[in-house]
Amino acid sequence: MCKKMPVIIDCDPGHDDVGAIMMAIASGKFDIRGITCVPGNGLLDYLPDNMLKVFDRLGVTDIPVLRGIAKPFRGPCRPAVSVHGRTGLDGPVFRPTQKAPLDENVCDFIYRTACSCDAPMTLIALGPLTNVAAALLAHPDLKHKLARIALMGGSAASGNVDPASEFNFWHDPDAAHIVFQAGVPILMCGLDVTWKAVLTLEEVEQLRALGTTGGTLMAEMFDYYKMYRTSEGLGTVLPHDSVPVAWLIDPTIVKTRPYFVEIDVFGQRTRGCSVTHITGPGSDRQACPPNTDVAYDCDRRRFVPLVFSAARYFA
Amino acid sequence: MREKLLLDIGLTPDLPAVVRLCRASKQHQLQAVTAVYGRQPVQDARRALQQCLGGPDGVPVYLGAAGPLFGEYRFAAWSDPEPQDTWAWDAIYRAALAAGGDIQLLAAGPLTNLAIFIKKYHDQRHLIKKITVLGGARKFGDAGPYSEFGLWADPLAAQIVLESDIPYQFIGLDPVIEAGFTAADLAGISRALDLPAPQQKHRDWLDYTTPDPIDLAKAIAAAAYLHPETATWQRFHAEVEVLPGPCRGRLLLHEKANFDQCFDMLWAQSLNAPKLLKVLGAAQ
Repeated sequence: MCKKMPVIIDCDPGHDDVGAIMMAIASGKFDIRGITCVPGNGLLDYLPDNMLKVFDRLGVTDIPVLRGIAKPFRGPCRPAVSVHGRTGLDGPVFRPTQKAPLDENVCDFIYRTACSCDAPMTLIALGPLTNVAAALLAHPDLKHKLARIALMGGSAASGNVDPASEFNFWHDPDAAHIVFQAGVPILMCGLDVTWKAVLTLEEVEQLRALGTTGGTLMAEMFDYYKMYRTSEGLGTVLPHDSVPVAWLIDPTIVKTRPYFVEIDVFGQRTRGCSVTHITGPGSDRQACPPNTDVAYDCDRRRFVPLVFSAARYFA
Repeated sequence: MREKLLLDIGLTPDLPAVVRLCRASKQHQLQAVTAVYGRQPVQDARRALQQCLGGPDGVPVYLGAAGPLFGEYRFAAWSDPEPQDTWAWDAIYRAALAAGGDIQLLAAGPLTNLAIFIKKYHDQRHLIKKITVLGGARKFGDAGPYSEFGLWADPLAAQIVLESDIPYQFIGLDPVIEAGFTAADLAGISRALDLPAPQQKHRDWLDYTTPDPIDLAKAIAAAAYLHPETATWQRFHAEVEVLPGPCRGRLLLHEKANFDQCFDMLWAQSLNAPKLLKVLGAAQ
Protein backbone atom coordinates (compact mmCIF):
# COMPACT_ATOMS: atom_id res chain seq x y z
CA MET A 1 0.00 0.00 0.00
CA CYS A 2 1.48 3.38 -1.05
CA LYS A 3 2.23 5.81 1.71
CA LYS A 4 0.20 8.96 1.50
CA MET A 5 1.95 12.12 0.36
CA PRO A 6 2.28 14.54 3.28
CA VAL A 7 0.97 17.95 2.26
CA ILE A 8 -0.08 21.30 3.62
CA ILE A 9 -2.58 23.19 1.49
CA ASP A 10 -2.04 26.95 1.60
CA CYS A 11 -5.03 28.68 0.06
CA ASP A 12 -7.50 31.56 0.01
CA PRO A 13 -10.83 29.66 0.18
CA GLY A 14 -12.26 30.52 -2.30
CA HIS A 15 -14.73 28.59 -4.50
CA ASP A 16 -12.06 26.84 -6.53
CA ASP A 17 -9.89 26.27 -3.43
CA VAL A 18 -12.71 24.35 -1.78
CA GLY A 19 -13.13 22.23 -4.91
CA ALA A 20 -9.43 21.44 -4.90
CA ILE A 21 -9.44 20.47 -1.23
CA MET A 22 -12.44 18.21 -1.81
CA MET A 23 -10.58 16.56 -4.70
CA ALA A 24 -7.50 16.09 -2.53
CA ILE A 25 -9.44 14.48 0.33
CA ALA A 26 -11.48 12.26 -1.97
CA SER A 27 -8.44 10.91 -3.81
CA GLY A 28 -7.09 9.23 -0.67
CA LYS A 29 -3.56 10.01 -1.88
CA PHE A 30 -2.70 12.75 0.57
CA ASP A 31 -1.95 13.04 4.26
CA ILE A 32 -3.33 16.56 4.62
CA ARG A 33 -1.61 17.99 7.67
CA GLY A 34 -3.35 21.36 7.60
CA ILE A 35 -4.97 24.17 5.68
CA THR A 36 -3.24 27.54 6.01
CA CYS A 37 -5.16 30.60 4.84
CA VAL A 38 -3.81 33.59 2.95
CA PRO A 39 -5.74 36.66 1.74
CA GLY A 40 -6.45 36.78 -1.96
CA ASN A 41 -9.91 35.71 -3.04
CA GLY A 42 -11.12 37.42 0.12
CA LEU A 43 -9.79 39.18 3.18
CA LEU A 44 -8.15 36.99 5.80
CA ASP A 45 -10.88 37.84 8.33
CA TYR A 46 -13.28 35.61 6.40
CA LEU A 47 -11.16 32.78 5.08
CA PRO A 48 -10.48 30.45 8.05
CA ASP A 49 -14.17 30.71 8.91
CA ASN A 50 -15.07 29.79 5.32
CA MET A 51 -12.93 26.67 5.54
CA LEU A 52 -14.28 25.60 8.94
CA LYS A 53 -17.86 26.01 7.74
CA VAL A 54 -17.11 23.92 4.64
CA PHE A 55 -15.55 21.21 6.80
CA ASP A 56 -18.61 21.24 9.08
CA ARG A 57 -20.86 20.73 6.07
CA LEU A 58 -18.69 17.97 4.62
CA GLY A 59 -18.16 16.27 7.96
CA VAL A 60 -14.38 16.73 7.94
CA THR A 61 -13.09 16.89 11.50
CA ASP A 62 -9.42 16.02 11.48
CA ILE A 63 -7.71 18.72 9.41
CA PRO A 64 -6.56 21.83 11.30
CA VAL A 65 -7.17 25.25 9.75
CA LEU A 66 -4.84 28.17 10.43
CA ARG A 67 -4.86 31.92 9.90
CA GLY A 68 -1.91 33.10 7.86
CA ILE A 69 -0.43 36.51 7.18
CA ALA A 70 -2.97 39.25 6.75
CA LYS A 71 -1.42 41.32 3.99
CA PRO A 72 1.10 40.97 1.17
CA PHE A 73 4.77 41.83 1.58
CA ARG A 74 4.14 45.29 0.21
CA GLY A 75 1.03 47.35 -0.21
CA PRO A 76 -2.55 46.69 0.85
CA CYS A 77 -4.74 43.66 0.33
CA ARG A 78 -6.75 43.81 -2.88
CA PRO A 79 -9.15 40.87 -2.63
CA ALA A 80 -10.95 39.58 -5.71
CA VAL A 81 -14.42 40.41 -4.39
CA SER A 82 -15.83 40.95 -7.87
CA VAL A 83 -15.22 37.24 -8.57
CA HIS A 84 -15.65 35.56 -5.18
CA GLY A 85 -17.85 37.99 -3.27
CA ARG A 86 -17.26 39.88 -0.05
CA THR A 87 -16.47 36.80 2.03
CA GLY A 88 -14.40 35.14 -0.66
CA LEU A 89 -16.94 32.30 -0.74
CA ASP A 90 -20.22 34.00 -1.45
CA GLY A 91 -23.03 31.83 -2.78
CA PRO A 92 -23.48 28.73 -0.58
CA VAL A 93 -25.23 29.26 2.74
CA PHE A 94 -23.47 27.77 5.77
CA ARG A 95 -24.42 27.32 9.41
CA PRO A 96 -22.21 29.22 11.85
CA THR A 97 -19.30 27.10 13.02
CA GLN A 98 -18.36 26.40 16.62
CA LYS A 99 -14.80 25.59 15.69
CA ALA A 100 -11.85 27.96 15.72
CA PRO A 101 -8.61 28.03 13.73
CA LEU A 102 -5.54 26.46 15.29
CA ASP A 103 -3.72 29.11 17.30
CA GLU A 104 -0.17 28.76 15.97
CA ASN A 105 2.12 30.96 13.91
CA VAL A 106 1.69 29.87 10.31
CA CYS A 107 5.44 29.89 9.54
CA ASP A 108 6.19 27.72 12.57
CA PHE A 109 3.31 25.36 11.71
CA ILE A 110 4.58 24.81 8.17
CA TYR A 111 8.15 24.25 9.41
CA ARG A 112 7.19 22.04 12.35
CA THR A 113 4.98 19.92 10.12
CA ALA A 114 7.66 19.57 7.46
CA CYS A 115 10.16 18.47 10.11
CA SER A 116 7.75 15.89 11.48
CA CYS A 117 7.09 14.15 8.15
CA ASP A 118 8.87 10.88 7.34
CA ALA A 119 9.21 11.98 3.73
CA PRO A 120 9.75 15.45 2.26
CA MET A 121 6.53 17.40 2.42
CA THR A 122 4.70 18.94 -0.52
CA LEU A 123 3.24 22.43 -0.23
CA ILE A 124 0.13 22.86 -2.34
CA ALA A 125 -0.17 26.64 -2.76
CA LEU A 126 -3.43 27.81 -4.27
CA GLY A 127 -3.37 31.52 -3.43
CA PRO A 128 -0.87 34.37 -3.19
CA LEU A 129 2.45 33.08 -1.89
CA THR A 130 2.71 35.35 1.18
CA ASN A 131 2.64 32.55 3.77
CA VAL A 132 5.00 30.33 1.78
CA ALA A 133 7.57 33.09 1.29
CA ALA A 134 7.46 34.12 4.93
CA ALA A 135 7.92 30.51 6.05
CA LEU A 136 10.93 30.08 3.75
CA LEU A 137 12.48 33.27 5.12
CA ALA A 138 11.71 32.54 8.77
CA HIS A 139 13.08 28.99 8.53
CA PRO A 140 15.96 29.03 6.04
CA ASP A 141 16.38 25.24 6.13
CA LEU A 142 12.71 24.61 5.31
CA LYS A 143 13.55 24.35 1.61
CA HIS A 144 15.53 21.15 2.31
CA LYS A 145 12.43 19.54 3.84
CA LEU A 146 10.11 20.19 0.90
CA ALA A 147 9.66 17.80 -2.01
CA ARG A 148 7.92 20.38 -4.12
CA ILE A 149 5.72 23.43 -4.17
CA ALA A 150 2.74 22.63 -6.41
CA LEU A 151 1.06 25.94 -7.03
CA MET A 152 -1.76 27.52 -8.92
CA GLY A 153 -0.52 30.83 -10.15
CA GLY A 154 1.22 32.71 -12.87
CA SER A 155 0.97 32.41 -16.59
CA ALA A 156 3.52 32.00 -19.33
CA ALA A 157 1.39 33.68 -21.97
CA SER A 158 -1.04 36.26 -20.55
CA GLY A 159 -2.74 37.37 -17.35
CA ASN A 160 -6.23 37.77 -15.90
CA VAL A 161 -5.69 40.90 -13.80
CA ASP A 162 -3.92 42.70 -16.61
CA PRO A 163 -2.37 41.52 -19.86
CA ALA A 164 0.73 40.22 -18.11
CA SER A 165 -0.20 39.10 -14.60
CA GLU A 166 -2.26 36.33 -13.02
CA PHE A 167 -4.04 37.33 -9.78
CA ASN A 168 -2.10 35.26 -7.20
CA PHE A 169 1.29 36.57 -8.31
CA TRP A 170 -0.08 40.07 -8.94
CA HIS A 171 -1.41 40.25 -5.38
CA ASP A 172 2.03 39.58 -3.86
CA PRO A 173 4.79 39.58 -6.46
CA ASP A 174 7.52 39.99 -3.84
CA ALA A 175 6.44 36.78 -2.16
CA ALA A 176 6.28 34.99 -5.51
CA HIS A 177 9.79 36.20 -6.31
CA ILE A 178 11.10 34.91 -2.99
CA VAL A 179 9.50 31.49 -3.57
CA PHE A 180 10.78 31.14 -7.12
CA GLN A 181 14.34 31.89 -6.13
CA ALA A 182 14.33 29.68 -3.02
CA GLY A 183 15.58 26.60 -4.82
CA VAL A 184 12.58 24.35 -4.10
CA PRO A 185 11.25 22.33 -7.08
CA ILE A 186 8.15 24.11 -8.36
CA LEU A 187 5.17 22.95 -10.38
CA MET A 188 3.49 26.03 -11.80
CA CYS A 189 -0.11 25.48 -12.91
CA GLY A 190 -0.88 28.85 -14.39
CA LEU A 191 -3.61 30.19 -16.57
CA ASP A 192 -2.06 28.46 -19.59
CA VAL A 193 -3.39 25.15 -18.25
CA THR A 194 -6.24 26.21 -15.96
CA TRP A 195 -8.02 27.98 -18.80
CA LYS A 196 -8.20 24.56 -20.45
CA ALA A 197 -9.42 22.68 -17.35
CA VAL A 198 -13.02 23.86 -17.60
CA LEU A 199 -16.35 22.54 -16.43
CA THR A 200 -19.36 23.19 -18.62
CA LEU A 201 -22.60 24.52 -17.15
CA GLU A 202 -24.12 21.19 -18.12
CA GLU A 203 -21.57 19.39 -15.97
CA VAL A 204 -22.39 21.72 -13.06
CA GLU A 205 -26.03 20.61 -13.36
CA GLN A 206 -24.86 16.99 -13.37
CA LEU A 207 -23.00 17.66 -10.12
CA ARG A 208 -26.18 19.03 -8.60
CA ALA A 209 -28.15 16.04 -9.87
CA LEU A 210 -25.88 13.67 -7.90
CA GLY A 211 -27.81 14.77 -4.81
CA THR A 212 -24.77 14.25 -2.57
CA THR A 213 -23.50 16.75 -0.01
CA GLY A 214 -20.36 17.24 -2.10
CA GLY A 215 -22.22 17.59 -5.38
CA THR A 216 -24.71 20.06 -3.95
CA LEU A 217 -21.95 22.17 -2.40
CA MET A 218 -19.98 22.23 -5.65
CA ALA A 219 -23.06 23.21 -7.65
CA GLU A 220 -23.91 26.00 -5.19
CA MET A 221 -20.36 27.32 -5.36
CA PHE A 222 -20.26 27.19 -9.15
CA ASP A 223 -23.69 28.89 -9.36
CA TYR A 224 -22.08 31.95 -7.82
CA TYR A 225 -18.66 31.52 -9.38
CA LYS A 226 -20.07 31.20 -12.90
CA MET A 227 -21.65 34.67 -12.73
CA TYR A 228 -18.23 36.19 -13.30
CA ARG A 229 -17.74 34.03 -16.39
CA THR A 230 -21.25 34.34 -17.82
CA SER A 231 -21.02 38.13 -17.46
CA GLU A 232 -18.23 37.82 -20.03
CA GLY A 233 -20.34 35.58 -22.23
CA LEU A 234 -18.45 32.42 -21.30
CA GLY A 235 -20.49 29.29 -20.60
CA THR A 236 -17.95 27.49 -18.46
CA VAL A 237 -16.53 27.55 -14.94
CA LEU A 238 -12.86 27.30 -14.09
CA PRO A 239 -11.81 25.19 -11.12
CA HIS A 240 -8.30 26.66 -11.35
CA ASP A 241 -7.00 25.33 -8.05
CA SER A 242 -7.91 21.71 -8.78
CA VAL A 243 -5.28 21.46 -11.52
CA PRO A 244 -2.15 21.16 -9.32
CA VAL A 245 -4.01 18.66 -7.16
CA ALA A 246 -4.91 16.67 -10.27
CA TRP A 247 -1.23 16.60 -11.30
CA LEU A 248 -0.22 15.33 -7.86
CA ILE A 249 -2.88 12.60 -8.11
CA ASP A 250 -1.83 11.58 -11.61
CA PRO A 251 0.98 13.48 -13.35
CA THR A 252 -0.10 12.20 -16.76
CA ILE A 253 -3.33 14.26 -16.61
CA VAL A 254 -1.43 17.55 -16.82
CA LYS A 255 1.40 18.13 -19.28
CA THR A 256 4.42 20.13 -18.19
CA ARG A 257 7.68 21.41 -19.60
CA PRO A 258 10.73 22.65 -17.66
CA TYR A 259 11.47 26.35 -18.04
CA PHE A 260 13.26 29.13 -16.21
CA VAL A 261 10.62 31.36 -14.60
CA GLU A 262 11.25 34.63 -12.79
CA ILE A 263 8.78 37.09 -11.32
CA ASP A 264 8.67 40.72 -12.40
CA VAL A 265 8.43 42.74 -9.19
CA PHE A 266 9.40 46.12 -10.53
CA GLY A 267 7.58 46.60 -13.78
CA GLN A 268 5.17 49.49 -13.80
CA ARG A 269 2.72 47.67 -16.06
CA THR A 270 4.02 44.13 -15.67
CA ARG A 271 4.33 43.76 -11.92
CA GLY A 272 3.48 40.19 -10.97
CA CYS A 273 4.21 38.75 -14.40
CA SER A 274 5.70 35.25 -14.30
CA VAL A 275 8.33 35.77 -16.97
CA THR A 276 8.76 32.36 -18.58
CA HIS A 277 11.90 31.99 -20.63
CA ILE A 278 10.66 29.79 -23.45
CA THR A 279 13.79 29.35 -25.50
CA GLY A 280 13.81 28.97 -29.21
CA PRO A 281 16.41 28.49 -31.90
CA GLY A 282 19.48 30.55 -31.25
CA SER A 283 18.67 31.17 -27.56
CA ASP A 284 21.30 30.50 -24.96
CA ARG A 285 19.43 28.02 -22.79
CA GLN A 286 22.40 27.55 -20.50
CA ALA A 287 22.09 31.14 -19.33
CA CYS A 288 18.71 30.30 -17.78
CA PRO A 289 18.65 26.71 -16.51
CA PRO A 290 15.07 25.58 -15.84
CA ASN A 291 13.76 26.06 -12.32
CA THR A 292 10.05 25.27 -12.80
CA ASP A 293 7.84 22.62 -14.34
CA VAL A 294 5.33 24.78 -16.20
CA ALA A 295 1.98 23.12 -16.89
CA TYR A 296 0.58 23.95 -20.31
CA ASP A 297 -2.17 21.41 -21.10
CA CYS A 298 -4.71 19.25 -19.33
CA ASP A 299 -6.58 16.10 -20.41
CA ARG A 300 -10.10 17.26 -19.61
CA ARG A 301 -11.54 13.79 -20.21
CA ARG A 302 -9.54 12.54 -17.21
CA PHE A 303 -9.70 15.74 -15.16
CA VAL A 304 -13.48 16.08 -14.99
CA PRO A 305 -14.02 12.56 -13.51
CA LEU A 306 -11.77 13.58 -10.59
CA VAL A 307 -14.18 16.44 -9.87
CA PHE A 308 -17.14 14.07 -9.94
CA SER A 309 -15.33 11.56 -7.73
CA ALA A 310 -14.86 14.29 -5.16
CA ALA A 311 -18.53 15.20 -5.36
CA ARG A 312 -19.57 11.59 -4.79
CA TYR A 313 -17.06 11.01 -1.98
CA PHE A 314 -18.90 13.41 0.35
CA ALA A 315 -22.21 11.59 0.49
CA MET B 1 12.76 52.93 34.82
CA ARG B 2 15.19 52.02 32.06
CA GLU B 3 13.94 51.54 28.50
CA LYS B 4 14.37 47.98 27.33
CA LEU B 5 16.35 47.86 24.13
CA LEU B 6 17.18 45.30 21.46
CA LEU B 7 20.00 46.12 19.04
CA ASP B 8 20.06 44.75 15.48
CA ILE B 9 23.40 45.45 13.79
CA GLY B 10 25.76 44.45 11.02
CA LEU B 11 29.54 44.64 11.08
CA THR B 12 30.76 48.22 10.70
CA PRO B 13 33.98 49.89 11.85
CA ASP B 14 32.14 51.50 14.76
CA LEU B 15 30.16 48.42 15.86
CA PRO B 16 32.07 48.09 19.18
CA ALA B 17 31.31 51.74 19.92
CA VAL B 18 27.59 51.35 19.24
CA VAL B 19 27.42 48.36 21.56
CA ARG B 20 29.43 50.16 24.24
CA LEU B 21 27.19 53.22 24.09
CA CYS B 22 24.04 51.11 24.41
CA ARG B 23 25.41 49.19 27.38
CA ALA B 24 26.66 52.33 29.11
CA SER B 25 23.37 54.20 28.81
CA LYS B 26 21.74 54.76 32.18
CA GLN B 27 18.34 55.25 30.52
CA HIS B 28 18.42 52.00 28.52
CA GLN B 29 18.85 48.30 29.26
CA LEU B 30 20.16 46.14 26.45
CA GLN B 31 18.18 42.88 26.40
CA ALA B 32 19.63 41.15 23.35
CA VAL B 33 21.56 41.77 20.17
CA THR B 34 20.73 40.34 16.74
CA ALA B 35 23.31 40.14 13.99
CA VAL B 36 22.58 40.98 10.38
CA TYR B 37 24.76 40.91 7.27
CA GLY B 38 26.36 44.12 6.19
CA ARG B 39 29.35 44.74 4.01
CA GLN B 40 30.70 41.62 5.78
CA PRO B 41 28.97 38.26 6.35
CA VAL B 42 26.58 37.93 9.26
CA GLN B 43 28.83 35.36 10.94
CA ASP B 44 31.57 38.00 11.19
CA ALA B 45 29.09 40.40 12.79
CA ARG B 46 28.07 37.77 15.32
CA ARG B 47 31.68 37.00 16.18
CA ALA B 48 32.46 40.68 16.70
CA LEU B 49 29.36 41.12 18.87
CA GLN B 50 30.20 38.11 21.01
CA GLN B 51 33.65 39.57 21.59
CA CYS B 52 32.14 42.91 22.60
CA LEU B 53 29.50 41.49 24.85
CA GLY B 54 31.59 39.07 26.81
CA GLY B 55 30.88 35.55 28.07
CA PRO B 56 27.77 33.44 28.61
CA ASP B 57 26.45 35.77 31.31
CA GLY B 58 26.53 38.66 28.90
CA VAL B 59 23.85 39.92 26.59
CA PRO B 60 22.82 37.11 24.20
CA VAL B 61 23.64 37.41 20.50
CA TYR B 62 21.47 35.79 17.82
CA LEU B 63 22.27 35.11 14.19
CA GLY B 64 20.04 36.75 11.61
CA ALA B 65 19.77 37.13 7.88
CA ALA B 66 22.81 36.52 5.71
CA GLY B 67 21.38 38.51 2.81
CA PRO B 68 18.43 40.61 1.71
CA LEU B 69 14.91 39.29 1.15
CA PHE B 70 15.80 39.13 -2.51
CA GLY B 71 18.23 40.77 -4.83
CA GLU B 72 21.72 40.37 -6.11
CA TYR B 73 23.43 41.58 -2.93
CA ARG B 74 23.76 38.45 -0.90
CA PHE B 75 26.49 36.24 0.43
CA ALA B 76 26.65 32.60 -0.55
CA ALA B 77 25.96 31.59 3.06
CA TRP B 78 22.32 32.58 2.67
CA SER B 79 21.86 29.55 0.42
CA ASP B 80 22.66 27.07 3.18
CA PRO B 81 22.66 28.78 6.56
CA GLU B 82 23.66 26.83 9.65
CA PRO B 83 20.50 25.84 11.58
CA GLN B 84 19.82 27.97 14.64
CA ASP B 85 17.82 27.23 17.78
CA THR B 86 16.64 30.81 17.77
CA TRP B 87 16.87 33.05 14.77
CA ALA B 88 17.12 36.80 15.16
CA TRP B 89 13.45 37.42 14.29
CA ASP B 90 12.34 34.84 16.88
CA ALA B 91 14.65 36.45 19.44
CA ILE B 92 13.03 39.82 18.75
CA TYR B 93 9.62 38.28 19.31
CA ARG B 94 10.61 36.56 22.54
CA ALA B 95 12.28 39.66 23.92
CA ALA B 96 9.23 41.75 23.04
CA LEU B 97 6.89 39.20 24.59
CA ALA B 98 8.98 39.09 27.78
CA ALA B 99 8.93 42.89 27.93
CA GLY B 100 5.15 42.95 27.59
CA GLY B 101 5.28 45.29 24.62
CA ASP B 102 7.63 47.72 26.35
CA ILE B 103 10.75 47.34 24.22
CA GLN B 104 12.42 49.42 21.53
CA LEU B 105 14.38 48.16 18.54
CA LEU B 106 17.53 49.94 17.44
CA ALA B 107 18.57 48.92 13.93
CA ALA B 108 22.00 49.76 12.55
CA GLY B 109 22.17 47.73 9.37
CA PRO B 110 19.95 46.35 6.64
CA LEU B 111 16.42 45.91 7.98
CA THR B 112 16.05 42.30 6.80
CA ASN B 113 15.75 40.80 10.31
CA LEU B 114 13.07 43.33 11.22
CA ALA B 115 11.17 42.69 8.00
CA ILE B 116 11.12 38.93 8.62
CA PHE B 117 9.96 39.57 12.22
CA ILE B 118 7.19 41.87 10.95
CA LYS B 119 6.04 39.32 8.38
CA LYS B 120 6.29 36.23 10.58
CA TYR B 121 4.70 37.84 13.62
CA HIS B 122 2.33 39.98 11.57
CA ASP B 123 -0.31 40.19 14.30
CA GLN B 124 2.16 40.86 17.15
CA ARG B 125 3.42 44.24 16.03
CA HIS B 126 1.89 45.89 19.09
CA LEU B 127 4.70 44.26 21.08
CA ILE B 128 7.23 46.77 19.73
CA LYS B 129 7.11 50.25 21.23
CA LYS B 130 9.30 51.95 18.64
CA ILE B 131 11.87 51.20 15.95
CA THR B 132 14.82 53.54 15.53
CA VAL B 133 16.84 53.10 12.36
CA LEU B 134 20.39 54.39 12.34
CA GLY B 135 20.49 54.75 8.62
CA GLY B 136 18.76 56.00 5.56
CA ALA B 137 19.62 58.98 3.44
CA ARG B 138 17.79 61.74 1.61
CA LYS B 139 20.52 63.62 -0.18
CA PHE B 140 23.85 62.00 0.70
CA GLY B 141 24.49 58.31 0.17
CA ASP B 142 27.38 55.99 0.93
CA ALA B 143 26.17 53.05 -1.17
CA GLY B 144 24.48 54.87 -4.05
CA PRO B 145 24.41 58.57 -4.87
CA TYR B 146 21.44 59.01 -2.50
CA SER B 147 21.34 55.74 -0.61
CA GLU B 148 22.72 54.70 2.73
CA PHE B 149 24.02 51.13 2.69
CA GLY B 150 21.43 49.63 5.05
CA LEU B 151 18.48 50.68 2.89
CA TRP B 152 20.33 50.15 -0.37
CA ALA B 153 21.12 46.53 0.52
CA ASP B 154 17.48 45.65 1.18
CA PRO B 155 15.03 48.35 0.15
CA LEU B 156 12.09 45.95 0.26
CA ALA B 157 12.79 45.23 3.93
CA ALA B 158 12.90 48.97 4.60
CA GLN B 159 9.56 49.50 2.87
CA ILE B 160 8.08 46.67 4.95
CA VAL B 161 9.21 48.47 8.13
CA LEU B 162 7.68 51.72 6.91
CA GLU B 163 4.35 50.00 6.22
CA SER B 164 4.34 48.03 9.48
CA ASP B 165 2.28 50.40 11.68
CA ILE B 166 5.04 50.23 14.33
CA PRO B 167 6.11 53.77 15.34
CA TYR B 168 9.52 54.50 13.88
CA GLN B 169 12.18 57.16 13.60
CA PHE B 170 15.29 57.49 11.48
CA ILE B 171 18.64 59.07 12.26
CA GLY B 172 20.16 59.06 8.82
CA LEU B 173 23.38 60.05 7.14
CA ASP B 174 22.26 63.57 6.30
CA PRO B 175 22.19 65.04 9.85
CA VAL B 176 25.50 63.32 10.70
CA ILE B 177 27.18 64.90 7.68
CA GLU B 178 25.50 68.27 8.12
CA ALA B 179 26.36 68.47 11.84
CA GLY B 180 29.72 69.94 10.83
CA PHE B 181 32.13 67.76 12.79
CA THR B 182 35.70 68.88 12.19
CA ALA B 183 38.62 66.52 11.70
CA ALA B 184 39.64 67.22 15.28
CA ASP B 185 36.10 66.40 16.48
CA LEU B 186 36.16 63.08 14.66
CA ALA B 187 39.57 62.26 16.07
CA GLY B 188 38.28 63.10 19.54
CA ILE B 189 35.21 60.91 19.08
CA SER B 190 37.41 58.02 17.94
CA ARG B 191 39.61 58.38 21.03
CA ALA B 192 36.61 58.63 23.37
CA LEU B 193 35.03 55.53 21.84
CA ASP B 194 38.29 53.60 21.74
CA LEU B 195 38.18 53.25 17.98
CA PRO B 196 41.07 53.46 15.53
CA ALA B 197 41.94 57.01 14.57
CA PRO B 198 40.08 58.01 11.43
CA GLN B 199 41.97 58.33 8.21
CA GLN B 200 42.19 61.91 7.13
CA LYS B 201 39.58 61.67 4.41
CA HIS B 202 37.29 64.32 3.09
CA ARG B 203 34.11 63.98 1.11
CA ASP B 204 32.58 66.34 -1.36
CA TRP B 205 28.91 67.10 -0.77
CA LEU B 206 27.60 69.17 -3.66
CA ASP B 207 29.17 72.57 -3.00
CA TYR B 208 31.12 71.90 0.17
CA THR B 209 33.55 69.45 1.64
CA THR B 210 33.63 67.90 5.09
CA PRO B 211 35.87 65.51 6.94
CA ASP B 212 34.43 62.10 6.24
CA PRO B 213 32.28 60.95 9.20
CA ILE B 214 31.03 57.77 7.54
CA ASP B 215 33.10 55.33 9.63
CA LEU B 216 31.67 56.88 12.81
CA ALA B 217 28.16 57.55 11.50
CA LYS B 218 26.44 54.69 13.36
CA ALA B 219 28.12 55.57 16.65
CA ILE B 220 27.20 59.25 16.31
CA ALA B 221 23.63 58.34 15.39
CA ALA B 222 23.44 55.90 18.32
CA ALA B 223 24.54 58.68 20.65
CA ALA B 224 21.80 60.89 19.23
CA TYR B 225 19.23 58.12 19.83
CA LEU B 226 20.38 57.57 23.41
CA HIS B 227 20.37 61.33 24.01
CA PRO B 228 17.41 62.64 21.97
CA GLU B 229 17.97 66.18 23.21
CA THR B 230 20.95 66.35 20.84
CA ALA B 231 18.64 66.18 17.78
CA THR B 232 15.76 68.14 16.32
CA TRP B 233 13.00 66.12 14.75
CA GLN B 234 10.48 66.57 11.97
CA ARG B 235 7.57 64.46 10.70
CA PHE B 236 7.20 63.28 7.12
CA HIS B 237 5.34 60.72 5.07
CA ALA B 238 8.08 58.31 4.00
CA GLU B 239 8.70 55.80 1.23
CA VAL B 240 11.75 53.93 0.03
CA GLU B 241 12.68 53.58 -3.62
CA VAL B 242 12.64 49.84 -4.11
CA LEU B 243 13.24 49.77 -7.86
CA PRO B 244 16.72 48.91 -9.06
CA GLY B 245 18.57 51.83 -10.49
CA PRO B 246 20.57 54.79 -9.27
CA CYS B 247 17.98 55.76 -6.62
CA ARG B 248 17.54 52.28 -5.17
CA GLY B 249 17.31 52.51 -1.37
CA ARG B 250 16.75 56.26 -1.33
CA LEU B 251 14.46 57.61 1.37
CA LEU B 252 11.70 59.77 -0.05
CA LEU B 253 10.32 62.11 2.60
CA HIS B 254 7.12 63.89 1.64
CA GLU B 255 6.31 67.13 3.37
CA LYS B 256 2.83 67.01 1.87
CA ALA B 257 0.79 63.83 1.74
CA ASN B 258 -2.43 62.56 0.22
CA PHE B 259 -5.46 62.15 2.45
CA ASP B 260 -4.80 58.44 2.84
CA GLN B 261 -1.11 58.81 3.80
CA CYS B 262 0.19 59.30 7.33
CA PHE B 263 3.08 61.41 8.54
CA ASP B 264 4.55 58.31 10.13
CA MET B 265 8.24 59.12 9.81
CA LEU B 266 10.00 60.96 12.64
CA TRP B 267 13.24 62.11 10.99
CA ALA B 268 16.24 63.56 12.80
CA GLN B 269 16.47 66.81 10.89
CA SER B 270 19.66 68.07 12.54
CA LEU B 271 22.18 67.07 15.19
CA ASN B 272 23.81 69.42 17.69
CA ALA B 273 27.53 68.69 17.34
CA PRO B 274 28.70 70.37 20.60
CA LYS B 275 26.08 68.51 22.65
CA LEU B 276 26.99 65.23 20.97
CA LEU B 277 30.67 65.78 21.61
CA LYS B 278 29.86 66.33 25.26
CA VAL B 279 27.75 63.16 25.66
CA LEU B 280 30.40 61.17 23.80
CA GLY B 281 33.09 62.48 26.13
CA ALA B 282 34.92 64.06 23.21
CA ALA B 283 34.36 67.73 24.01
CA GLN B 284 37.61 69.69 23.93
